[in-house]
Amino acid sequence: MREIWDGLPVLAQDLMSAGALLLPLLVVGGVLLRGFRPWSLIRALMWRFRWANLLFVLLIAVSTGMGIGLIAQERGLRTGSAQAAEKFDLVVMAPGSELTMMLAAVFLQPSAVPLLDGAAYDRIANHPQVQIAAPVAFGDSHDGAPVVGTIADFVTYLSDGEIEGRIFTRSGEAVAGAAIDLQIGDRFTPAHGRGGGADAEAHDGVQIEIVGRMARSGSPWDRAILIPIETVWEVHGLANGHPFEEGDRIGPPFAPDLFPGTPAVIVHADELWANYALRSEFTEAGETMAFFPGTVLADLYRVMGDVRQAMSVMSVVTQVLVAASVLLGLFILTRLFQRQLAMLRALGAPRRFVMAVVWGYGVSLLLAGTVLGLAFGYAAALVLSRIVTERTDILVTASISWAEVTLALGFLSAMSLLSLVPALVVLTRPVVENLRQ
Amino acid sequence: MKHLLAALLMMATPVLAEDGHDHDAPAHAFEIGGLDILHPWTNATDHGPALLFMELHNEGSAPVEILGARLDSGVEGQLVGFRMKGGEMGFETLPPIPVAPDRQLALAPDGLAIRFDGLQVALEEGHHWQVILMTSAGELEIDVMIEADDARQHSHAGHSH
Repeated sequence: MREIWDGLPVLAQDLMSAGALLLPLLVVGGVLLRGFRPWSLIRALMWRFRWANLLFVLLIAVSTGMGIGLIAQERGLRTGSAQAAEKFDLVVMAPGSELTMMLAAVFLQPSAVPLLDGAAYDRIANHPQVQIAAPVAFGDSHDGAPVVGTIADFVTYLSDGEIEGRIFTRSGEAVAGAAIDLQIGDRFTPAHGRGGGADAEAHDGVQIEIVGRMARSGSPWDRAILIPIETVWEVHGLANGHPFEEGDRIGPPFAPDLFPGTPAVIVHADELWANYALRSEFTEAGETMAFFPGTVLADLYRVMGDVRQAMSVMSVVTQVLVAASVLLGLFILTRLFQRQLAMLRALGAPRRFVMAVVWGYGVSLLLAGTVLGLAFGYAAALVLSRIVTERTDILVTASISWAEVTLALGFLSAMSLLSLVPALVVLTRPVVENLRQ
Repeated sequence: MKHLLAALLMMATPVLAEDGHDHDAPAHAFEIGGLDILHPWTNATDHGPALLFMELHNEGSAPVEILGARLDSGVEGQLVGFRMKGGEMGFETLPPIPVAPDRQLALAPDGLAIRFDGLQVALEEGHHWQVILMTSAGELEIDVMIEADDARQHSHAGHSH
């Protein structure tokens, strides 16, 4: 049975799950409403107590929307951060924290990490399976944006070759990320350091010209300025990786003894399998370590998965509280129109018809609240996504998936069953007494 | 240095076995065509897929390709690599991977693994699983330790044997 289920397309599984969740609602509705047309009465009840009903619908919508928005946002952040790291197949670093290096190399968060020397870089760059071995150099900034030193091949790879203008070809040129507020032809002087402690005058006299702009990638590299790694070394008074007789040449190969060091080498291999072999080969005790940013993210997501579970539990607790409120509210609302219901019964309406009116009324409110809740959830995720994207440069996109729809349908179905309780209670009340009220 | 370390690892096995390990306990190290296979393990599972992990070190003079693995029942395991694609975690099937002389290759969670789909029996924690590793140097039956369903490494990883 399980094999059959596993063999179904994902959409079919989702649709069947949604159908199974809605089944109790459809069965109860079918049994109660069969042969009756209670909708004109339900519409009348809706209109007569419209403000109370509206408040009730809003209460359901806000509570379901909160849960849906948070879960959708968590998924958006997870997907966005994974997509931002997709171009970073393998990172080689000096032994240290993989998480710190991933945050530094992939998400461009400032951090102090040990350097790999020229011999280590040479070994990586000359490996036959390595197509790109990009050294990176961090530390400088311009107007809050990180200025990152690297090689031209990596810029081409990172942007999939989508560069307006051209790639840098000599020291002192730069390619700007899509979100950088500098135009091609503009010049800037990098500040030493990043954030509040950056020294704007440390590199006075250095002028770097923007010669190209990368297409938007949805990663923090959109807000980075990429320059030749030689420029970073030169402005810090270091050797530029090349012997004097090579003139102004930039890019690999570098002379190992003139290579000032790099905190990380971003490695790309043509063959997918080669990355796994390279990880094993570049993980050498005490010398270098290699990691897949995707693996570090997967570990992070496992922790986030626990947070997600906690959020789901909180969401369920909220829904239970709302369910209790909804039930209480339905009791109160049925008290509001108990005289009309008693009149119906006195006129000879069948007991199932009266139940159908009360249940149909409750389910209508729940359905309206749940649908509005999905819209609220989407809107909340949209707003949160914009805030997170603005603050982190990780492109987070809001979307409502089957997980949220399933949550909403589960709530609607369970509450529709519980709505039978007030519908049954109405029938237990004495007709004559209710008519006198 | 690596040869010396590997030799010490191999020599330490009987010593540790006498030093508290069960004499009948299955081996954790295997060898074929110069390829050392250390600590093969998998996670317990009621139903597939099962991912097979191990550490490989080529002590020989010729490259050895890892082709996959199979069971006596005929079920075949394929080499797969963990990958983030479109923001989702998943595995991609890989071609045979060569291990060059004096090189290592780690099959580990969220990295490289040999995946078995469609297992007919559950893999229970603490038990062992007989798997035939297929390499370019030949086939070798290895004894795979079944760890907890959420284990991230072999329970003997880091031990000196």
